[in-house]
Amino acid sequence: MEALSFKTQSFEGPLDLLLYLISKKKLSICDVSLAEISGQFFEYIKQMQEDDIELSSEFLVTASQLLYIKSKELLPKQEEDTKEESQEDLTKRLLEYKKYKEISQIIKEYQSNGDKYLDRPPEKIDIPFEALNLQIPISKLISAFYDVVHKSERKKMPKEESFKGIIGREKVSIRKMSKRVLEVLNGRKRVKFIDVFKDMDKPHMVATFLAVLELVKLQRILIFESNGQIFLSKCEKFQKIEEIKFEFE
Amino acid sequence: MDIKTIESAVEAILFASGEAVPLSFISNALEVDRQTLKKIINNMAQRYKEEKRGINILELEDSYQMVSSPLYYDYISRVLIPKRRQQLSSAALETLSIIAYNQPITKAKIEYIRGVDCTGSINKLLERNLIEEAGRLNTAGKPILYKTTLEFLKAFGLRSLNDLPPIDNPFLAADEEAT
Repeated sequence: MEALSFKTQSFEGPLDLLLYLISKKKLSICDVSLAEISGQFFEYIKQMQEDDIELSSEFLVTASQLLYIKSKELLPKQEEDTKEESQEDLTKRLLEYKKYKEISQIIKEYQSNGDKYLDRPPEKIDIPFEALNLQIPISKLISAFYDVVHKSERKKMPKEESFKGIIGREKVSIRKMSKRVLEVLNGRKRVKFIDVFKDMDKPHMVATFLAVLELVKLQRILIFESNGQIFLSKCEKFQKIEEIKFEFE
Repeated sequence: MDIKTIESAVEAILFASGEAVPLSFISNALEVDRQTLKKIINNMAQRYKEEKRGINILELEDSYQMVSSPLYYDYISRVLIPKRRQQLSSAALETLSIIAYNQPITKAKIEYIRGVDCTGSINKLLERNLIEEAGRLNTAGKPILYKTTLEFLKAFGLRSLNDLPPIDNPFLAADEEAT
């Protein structure tokens, strides 16, 4: 099979030769347009009647090698420094390792001394439990108990509050709060304005307040004052909350 | 308690215990202060050796163990067939040396020095009771720390870690600024 020949401004010949020249530093990769070369390759492929796997793969290998060289050339040279450092590191490590390798041979010799001391497993004595004089001070027992308590506490699921600030606030929808307001008002003649906000955190309060305003605007509820207190009450024509079209949506 | 009684009690304790017994245990049991007891036991050990008795008392760090004297190993082996213990591989020996000089040490540090995975050697050493876990390092991942055991001292005929052959600047000292 004939090798394909490529021609660019600074080079003419088969791809193998190009790779050879570059690896021998006879030619700078930066002077060669790889785009041009691959363009020419595709031209060849187009001209060919049938696919030549061997030719294509050969091109692919060489071209990717060239691409690798070029991309490496184009990258900032910073990498070199760290490489040198790690080289130093490696030398240090190897020296360190050599030291232990040598010492392990010395230690190995020691083993023959120790090997000849024979011992036996401890005697098993059956002593009734009460007779065992367990010398454990009560304070140790107490601290062990505290450890257990502490550990089980640590294993407990963290409280929801501890996630505050980590996860975002719960989103409170005005629609949901509107429904709630209507539920509170349902079947009751009037409800104190303050009572609608009972046991609520800030986001719920804000949403509920907006819900009240919306409901008033949509004429679902009435808001009025009596004896210096604000009350809410439901309008006669009641509509299901799902059917209400909110303007802000 | 007279010295004779103390010596006999120590002998009895060490015989029955088989494995190494910390000095503090014996001291508590006999109600003899440690320094005095240490002198007494070392004296006994010395005598055992001088008289070339079949039994020796080994000092291992702050513990004592009763073992058979190596002088009669050959005779013992004629009666008891010694367990053919496999020799430690050189990889295991290297790992053991690194642990011995740098304990407590993490597996990662050992592997850093040796440049290869040490799981196998560490497991082998744990199995042979030459090393043991020594808590965990308080860094990310809380890696396990390893140290050598009294069994290690005995197996290598050392009285304490100070008996290890000297080595210039163990790794950790030099490594402190590197990590």
